[in-house]
Amino acid sequence: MQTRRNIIIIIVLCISLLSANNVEAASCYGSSCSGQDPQEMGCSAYTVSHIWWSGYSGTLYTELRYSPAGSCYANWTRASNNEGNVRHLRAELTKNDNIFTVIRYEDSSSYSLIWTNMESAAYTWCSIGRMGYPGSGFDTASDPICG
Amino acid sequence: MNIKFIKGKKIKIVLAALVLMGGLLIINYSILHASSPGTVSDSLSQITVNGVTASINEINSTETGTELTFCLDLPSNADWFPFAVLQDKSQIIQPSKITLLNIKNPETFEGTYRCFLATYRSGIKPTTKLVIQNIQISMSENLTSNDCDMALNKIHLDHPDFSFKCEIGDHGIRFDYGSLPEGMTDQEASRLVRAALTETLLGPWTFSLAQ
Repeated sequence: MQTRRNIIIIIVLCISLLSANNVEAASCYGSSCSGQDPQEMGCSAYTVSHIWWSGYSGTLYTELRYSPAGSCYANWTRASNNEGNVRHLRAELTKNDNIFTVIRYEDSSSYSLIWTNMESAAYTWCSIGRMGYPGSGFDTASDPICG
Repeated sequence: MNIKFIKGKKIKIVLAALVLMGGLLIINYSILHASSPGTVSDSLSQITVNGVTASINEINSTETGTELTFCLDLPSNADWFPFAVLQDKSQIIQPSKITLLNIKNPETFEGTYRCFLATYRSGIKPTTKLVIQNIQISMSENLTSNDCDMALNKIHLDHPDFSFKCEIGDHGIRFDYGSLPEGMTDQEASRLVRAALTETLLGPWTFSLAQ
């Protein structure tokens, strides 16, 4: 009787632990994430570098995002504004060459926060953000942040 | 013989319990006597505030710029990011950049101990302090409308007249604010929403940078 009760307790504990770890699995890894949306792929992410940049249209935040080897193993760029109102935002993921060749970008006047598609974290990437008033060009561009 | 054995076993259990209680008392003492918020440490030292220990590990400063390496033992292995400024009397210098170090090492993300490099476009004076104001989990790309509803409920505790909506779209999120409460700026509304959508642990962890 005692043994049966113990077995039931162990099964219940195992089920609880499994449910606790029931995190949505990522749908791509490394190069298979290239060109994919981190949101759609369910990639867990960390900000590895964050830069603040001020311009006429306000303060721009640019982030280099990284999904570690335990998830998607990929990088992407995120740009946002701190002004409350929507701004014209552009997030760029670039090569780590001297001219920061743009590989992925997202450009919109409809969001407060935007992000690019991903590239494999096997390489070093850089992030650049740009911001302006909706419907106009950019008055702010952050320095590149690489990692 | 059997009785002696049982007695010995009992003594061992009692001793083990005493050792355990002693350990717990020591841990409790350390928590209770940790540095209080706002404590200013010596350079290259560590401070514990709200259970999070921060240490300053390296200071490189010129007339035009400063780079500081500091480490934090974070509450979890989530995407915590610090907001650290330089403070000289009443002057606050925002960082131009903060970067997480050792990102290619998987242990950086598996564990809670992380180091950051903060860059400032200003030199430091003997009176300058590094103030890590708070740590915040970065906003996720995977926000749901449920997250936004919960954030609004959180904001309503202090600002019952405040309202906002999340538009979660393709590669982006838009926050639409209703009419703001009297005296609240757009920037304050934005900060309020971001804080409610994430988790923030307040410091400050304050370090004197006098060398």
